[in-house]
Amino acid sequence: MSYVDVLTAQMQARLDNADDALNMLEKYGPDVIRHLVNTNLATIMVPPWGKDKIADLLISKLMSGIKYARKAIVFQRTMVRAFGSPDALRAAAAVINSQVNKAAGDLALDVREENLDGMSPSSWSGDAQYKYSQAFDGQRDAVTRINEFGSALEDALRSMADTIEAYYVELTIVILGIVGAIVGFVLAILEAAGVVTIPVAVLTVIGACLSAAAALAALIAMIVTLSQNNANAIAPLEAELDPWPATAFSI
Amino acid sequence: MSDGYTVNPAALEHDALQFDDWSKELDAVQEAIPVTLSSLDFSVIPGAQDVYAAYQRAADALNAYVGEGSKEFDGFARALLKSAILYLEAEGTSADDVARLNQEMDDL
Repeated sequence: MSYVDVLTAQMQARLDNADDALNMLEKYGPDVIRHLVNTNLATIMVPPWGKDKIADLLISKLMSGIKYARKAIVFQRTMVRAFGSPDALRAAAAVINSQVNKAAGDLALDVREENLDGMSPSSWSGDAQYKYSQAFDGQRDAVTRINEFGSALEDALRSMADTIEAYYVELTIVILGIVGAIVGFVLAILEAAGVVTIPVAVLTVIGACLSAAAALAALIAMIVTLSQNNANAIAPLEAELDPWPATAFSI
Repeated sequence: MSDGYTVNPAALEHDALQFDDWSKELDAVQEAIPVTLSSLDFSVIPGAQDVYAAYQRAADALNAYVGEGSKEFDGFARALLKSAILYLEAEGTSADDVARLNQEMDDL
């Protein structure tokens, strides 16, 4: 299982917990509020209808809050899903490999004249047989083309899965670099404030600048690599797939 | 055997069933092509949605292509069975044999 999918699953599980908590709050919250209102206002001269009004108001606020929280969870679920799913892409690639490419490859081995009795002159001859033979020409290549084109689909999915994983690793490195640079600047400011000497502060600033430059370079390199990977994945998918050779075979 | 040509209707029937099998195999291939992947599976990292769009177009194209192949093979099967029936009828073969082939035609 891809670490991206593991991470996504963990986040979704936490959001599930949040959903459960909201369900509990929705179910028991109103009773709890009424109990609290009655208990806390018991010593004050508030008529029962007044307590009910206060409780209703608080319950209404609670329900609005729950509604807002649910929307936030739905949004976060979408955000988490947007990390991508290398597992889903690889699973689809595996299906294409076995049920499309391999199946079409096996079929291409079968689709040949030797497996058709009517191709033998001893079984069939004449104009009709000639038409049959002509119509059959190219059918095997057409089947083979499925395998070729399907391989492009499979490769694109696997490549995308690898790219997603690599992206988050690279992104973590870049973020760590940026954080390092920020920490460096903060240290430099503290040093310049008199904690240590000015020359040390200058050196720290230079170090922080170098860290920032390295982080920026890593970010640019990552985007360039990503663009290249995506372009490499897209190009084979845009290959022309001519229509299946239509023979309108009839005798 | 007729004037100027040889024909064995059993060979045509055999080939018709062969094409029918191949047509069904293509149907299975067509059904297996994943055409309903979610765009979110591709993530929202830069350029990922372009790959998704290209994949979707390619998967749809392959799906249509395989569908055409299945229909083509089905067309072969029907044409061969029809020919076998015509040959049998021309040769005055028993009505049972012709009925059997007609049933196979219906089952395609």
